[in-house]
Amino acid sequence: MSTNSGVVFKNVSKLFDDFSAVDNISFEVKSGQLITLLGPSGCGKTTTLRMIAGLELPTSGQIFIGGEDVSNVYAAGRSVGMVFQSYALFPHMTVMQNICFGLSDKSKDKAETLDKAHVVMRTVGLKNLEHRYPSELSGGQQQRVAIARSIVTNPKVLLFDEPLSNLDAKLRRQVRGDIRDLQQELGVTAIYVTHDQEEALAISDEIIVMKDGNIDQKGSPKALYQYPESPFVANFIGEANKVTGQLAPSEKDSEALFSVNGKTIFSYAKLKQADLLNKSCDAFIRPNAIVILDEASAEDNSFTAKVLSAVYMGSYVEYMIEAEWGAQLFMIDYSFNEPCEVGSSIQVKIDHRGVSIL
Amino acid sequence: MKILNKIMLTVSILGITVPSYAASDMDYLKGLSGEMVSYCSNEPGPCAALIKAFNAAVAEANGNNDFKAKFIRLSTSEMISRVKGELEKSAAAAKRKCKNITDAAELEVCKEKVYKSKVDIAFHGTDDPYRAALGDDFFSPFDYPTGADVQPWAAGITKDSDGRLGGAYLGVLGFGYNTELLAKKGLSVPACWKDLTKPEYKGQIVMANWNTSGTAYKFASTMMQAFPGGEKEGWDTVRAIHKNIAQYSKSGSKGGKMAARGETTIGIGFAHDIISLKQKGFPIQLVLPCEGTLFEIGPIGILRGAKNRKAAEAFALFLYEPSTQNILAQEGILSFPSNVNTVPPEGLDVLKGVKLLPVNSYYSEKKVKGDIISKWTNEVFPLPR
Amino acid sequence: MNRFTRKLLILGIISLLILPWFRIDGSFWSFHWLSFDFFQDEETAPLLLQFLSFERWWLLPVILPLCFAVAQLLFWHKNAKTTATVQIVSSLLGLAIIIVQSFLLGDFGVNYTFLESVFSEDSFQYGLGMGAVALLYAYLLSFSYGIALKGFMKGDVFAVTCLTIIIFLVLVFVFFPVFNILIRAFWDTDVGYSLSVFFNRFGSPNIWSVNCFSDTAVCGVAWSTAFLALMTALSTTLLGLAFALVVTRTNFRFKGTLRVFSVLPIITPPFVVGMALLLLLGNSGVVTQAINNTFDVDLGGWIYGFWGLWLAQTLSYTPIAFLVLIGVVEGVSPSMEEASQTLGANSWKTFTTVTLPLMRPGLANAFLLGFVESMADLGNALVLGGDYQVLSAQIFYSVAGASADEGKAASLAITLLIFTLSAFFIQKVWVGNKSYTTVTGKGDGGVYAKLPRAVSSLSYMGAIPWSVFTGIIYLMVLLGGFVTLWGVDNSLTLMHYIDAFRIEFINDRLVTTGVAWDSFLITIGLALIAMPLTSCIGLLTGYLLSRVDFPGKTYFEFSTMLSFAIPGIVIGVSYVVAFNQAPIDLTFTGLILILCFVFRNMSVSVRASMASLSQLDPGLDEASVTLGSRGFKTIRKIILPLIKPAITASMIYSFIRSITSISAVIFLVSADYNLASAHIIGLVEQNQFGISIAYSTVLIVVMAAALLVMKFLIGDRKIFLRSKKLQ
Repeated sequence: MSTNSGVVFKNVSKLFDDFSAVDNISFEVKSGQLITLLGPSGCGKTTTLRMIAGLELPTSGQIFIGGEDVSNVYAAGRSVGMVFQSYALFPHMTVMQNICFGLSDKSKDKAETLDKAHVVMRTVGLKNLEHRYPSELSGGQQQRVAIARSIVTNPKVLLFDEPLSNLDAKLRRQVRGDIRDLQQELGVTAIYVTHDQEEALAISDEIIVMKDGNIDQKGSPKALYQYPESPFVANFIGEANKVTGQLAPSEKDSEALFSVNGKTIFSYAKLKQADLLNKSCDAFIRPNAIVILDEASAEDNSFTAKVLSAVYMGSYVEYMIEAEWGAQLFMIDYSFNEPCEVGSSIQVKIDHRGVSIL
Repeated sequence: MKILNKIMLTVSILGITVPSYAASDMDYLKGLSGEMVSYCSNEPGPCAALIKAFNAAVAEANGNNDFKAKFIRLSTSEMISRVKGELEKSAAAAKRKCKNITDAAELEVCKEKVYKSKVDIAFHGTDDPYRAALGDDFFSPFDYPTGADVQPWAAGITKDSDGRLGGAYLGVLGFGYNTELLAKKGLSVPACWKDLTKPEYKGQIVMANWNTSGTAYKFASTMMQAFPGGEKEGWDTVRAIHKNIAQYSKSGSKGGKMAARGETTIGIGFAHDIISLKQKGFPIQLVLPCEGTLFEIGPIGILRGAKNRKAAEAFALFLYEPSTQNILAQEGILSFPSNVNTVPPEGLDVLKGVKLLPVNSYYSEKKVKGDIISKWTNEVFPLPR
Repeated sequence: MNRFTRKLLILGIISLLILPWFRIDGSFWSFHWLSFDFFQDEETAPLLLQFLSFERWWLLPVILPLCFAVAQLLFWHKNAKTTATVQIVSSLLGLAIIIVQSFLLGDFGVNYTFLESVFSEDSFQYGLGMGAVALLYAYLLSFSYGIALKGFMKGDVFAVTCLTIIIFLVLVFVFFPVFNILIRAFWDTDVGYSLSVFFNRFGSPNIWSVNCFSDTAVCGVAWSTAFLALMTALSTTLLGLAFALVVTRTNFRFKGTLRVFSVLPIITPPFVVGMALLLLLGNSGVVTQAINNTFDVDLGGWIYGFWGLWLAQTLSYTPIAFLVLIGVVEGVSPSMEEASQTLGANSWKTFTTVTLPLMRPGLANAFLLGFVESMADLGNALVLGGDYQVLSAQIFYSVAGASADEGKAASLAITLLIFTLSAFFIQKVWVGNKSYTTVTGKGDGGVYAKLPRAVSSLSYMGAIPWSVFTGIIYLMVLLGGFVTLWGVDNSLTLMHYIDAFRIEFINDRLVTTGVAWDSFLITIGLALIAMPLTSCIGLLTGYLLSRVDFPGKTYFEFSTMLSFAIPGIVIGVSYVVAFNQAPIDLTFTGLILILCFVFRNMSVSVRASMASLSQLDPGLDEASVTLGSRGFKTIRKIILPLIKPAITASMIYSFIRSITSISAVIFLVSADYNLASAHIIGLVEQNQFGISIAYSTVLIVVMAAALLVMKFLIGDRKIFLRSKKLQ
């Protein structure tokens, strides 16, 4: 992967009849990166992916792969590998035949073809299954065959269309790790489509959040989580409680005070735009930024709340609480404390590091 | 009513003359080579036999096998429709290209040059469709034999068509009844067309659909001409017979066959078919109606622009040879031959007493024919029976 | 020089310098034209010499756009956009020039008087030949390449090329002739072209009268035809479903026998079924006589008319429904049924809510085919129709009846088309855009659900008596060939077979002297040639229709249905009229019969492959494409193996239909290319039942053998059900 294999979208739109699936998007994926297209269903992420594969051609705009304009190039000429949501394994071919499908079928190359196939099978961890048919494999094994088949041709770009959606939760965690490892090992540019934010956060170099055919925000997982630029992103990536209040200047220059109904509930240090001051604005508070205090140590800016529900999840407890000004908040407690009883009154504070104000 | 041509035929025309085998030397077969393609509207057996005989005769006359005649068998109306499809562009081109020529002979030359036909000659079948197609100008004039050796009705069709058709044989329209069935049901023996209108024959008669069969149209034109009351009386008779019809068949020979097998009591059809069935042993009796009846001629027509004109002409003459005409009888077709020197097949003596109606080419005109058939289709056929 | 440029250049050179530009008299493949002086002969000279030696200067422009296109690819190839534009413009220009020049000047010189001053008086040209075909192909290729470069159909050059070629062929071999004929509904020699002429014919009470509801008179032919077609479609679909269910979903012991019986009628020339019915149930039929004698009643000729037609058509077309439905029934994924059962549904609910709806496209196809087949059926209508009027027979009579009237035939044909096309659209609406994908890329395991008792017993009740009835009919057919003269002389004889298929030693050489040999061998040969062509064009069309998006797709689909929906006799006449002279001169060749077979039967393969493809996950071919498969590879390696039953069905069907078709070919057979069906119908007209049944029996045996061989070669679809694997 020494050559440039980046993907560039320039003002790309895709219309299906009158419906605009993708609306004038531009972005760049650097060579060797794994980037995730994240969004709810119908946001255009799969269409975007299919346009990279060449399975759809853009209505307008240009797509470059490795610096070459491929906007009107047929899928077979693009050198991309794609793992389909349904895996799309050829049911009438054995695992070996599936993997070798994209390779030269000239007889003089046969030895080489088999070598390559064995290498990728080792890479993805498939052993002794060469002669099985897809219907005789487990879901995880089918998934591996699909991946092996797509990387064996040495593609410039590797595309994943919700590859984990048919696997169980435990397998999902394992396979997504494997995918990331594999991508790093091969150094291939990869584009990954999912609607699962956790998956996206776990494996991506960068995430592109899409909504209604547009790009809402693009950035590293950390940047997206910590600095969402829109309520949509804030809500979609990690959950967040929306609280409407007022920002007031504080004595410290770098800080501002956020208050609801006149009561300050936290001081905010990340404020970039001074023009939000003294105005009504929304704060997005992560569930784990709400911290339960010992009754004894009531701190500044803490407030009381009533426990509406508590769900014990083993490593953490999920609460729904009602703050003193009446809003319902969702919070997660990772401490080892005994879960609070429903109906009891608790003292909480907000860790401003888990808050974004828009 | 415009009567273009009338030939009164009397019984004597069908009289059996003593055959004198003036063995023709068939000079016209000499020098033929290449091939000849023909449409044959007779039955497959006779078609093959005739073509085979022609090939053999040519081979013998020339002492080599350089010539091959072929045939495509189609029913007459199918064949004429197909010829129309094949030659309509030729006809249009000829109209355009020869439009300034007034001299008849020159016009013929011009037309022959323009027309392009892949088939050389059409023969046998029934004459109505051939005559109807004359207006479309698909057949080319030729000196068909019309002399003393040729029956007057055969010479007649050549004359009617300005030399564009020849005649090979004649068949007479009639009907047959199943003798066993008639006796079993206690019905009276019919002798005239009018007898068929009697209520006692309700559901006993089979004839062909006017839309599908040349035989049925022969019946139609007979009805139009057989009665003193002219067309009006004819239509009344048709309506009355319609009430007695068990079924309208597709093919003209079906009625006779059904009567022979006892599937119906009376079947309308050509005399030679009925005689042939009787000779095969079926209990069927031919009736030649007292009012008189019409006949069909098995025509010959050389197509305009024929690729192998010389062979086609030779074949046309060959079809008049007594030895050729005998082949039909050998193949079981008991029609009356056009060459007076040909011995008519056995069993045709009954035709001696037939009263033939004059040929009125008015009823062969395409438009008249179309009108009569559509009148029947719209006004008679839907009537309850 | 890339592959495409090279291809174009070679085609150009071939069509310019080597291949005869005009048609060759006789067979092209005999290569008798390939002698030293073929360059000099006016009829066989290639394009270049046509204008150098024979002063056909108007032929010069046809090659110029191609030269330009090749030159551009070779020397000025800069960016894809201008290349594409140049390719499109030059190839369109080339196509236009070929077509226009060929219509300006024909066998008889100029076709329009205003051109007389431009062309010399003796200038003319023959029909287009192989050279012209090669050049047309080059232009279509170049055009496809151009629009694919512009991103049409996702830039898939192969799909675009297929599409343009199929559209071109359909235009030339379906639309052009059919339009030529149908326009005559508006033509009258006295009036010329006029709408009122058409409405007079079309609105005739003969067609639309509804008198039969009010009095005893006959209803219009349109209504009686539609009623019969609906009844036939209904009965064939139900019986076909019963057969398919019994064969695939039950443990019935005689499945094999059932399968054979259900397929027998399809390999039988239609008039044979009619004849056998008459031998059994006609006025003098075996059963009728027995009943008449036993109960002393007169059954009469009930078989002639609606009941006989319905019976014969159901007998003839149930196999088609069966062939369509069996692929669909097999394609319903067992795991869906299992899913339904695990959700607590009993077998009845599973069948009605899962299995049956999943088979909807198949049912709709079967119904549509039954309807259209019944509408177009001529063989039975002629033999059994009696006084029950149907459009196909009326059309036949108007073309080749006592009063030949092409205008009437054309307007009746339009009436018939209206019905079949409405059926087509209703079917489209009913199947809708629901997803019926059940064979996906995920390995599917599972066992078919058991049928609910009511359904299985109904299926048995339909399939078994029907098979017995079919068996009896075929017994009659078999016997008919060995009886001297049915009903008159019932002694057994081999005479008919000997007459038809005699082989003799003459001068120490084996010579076929039976009367049937010529037409028999020609028929088998032509049907064999047409079979793969039909399947291929049908499959490609089905693939384009179900997998690729392009503007005007619905119209394209409709146009592939057209030739199937039009009665054969109309197609036959239209071919004679359209292809008898320059520019396309094909009559009296074997090729015109093959073309007629291909374009008449292609819609069956189209529908079969579409029904199968709608059950195949599109991800499979997309996966293949992203793995770099170009051109035919995806179809060959992925789609073909997965829809083998559809391919089998369409191959068998096209072979059989080629052998058994009558009405379309009766105008197209020639002395050298006579067909079995035309020959047999001649024998039937002559009442030679014995020999015609003997000939038909041999045809049936041949078709059955072909069926078995093909099944053996293509094999069963590998769905890899768990139950099969574990056995």
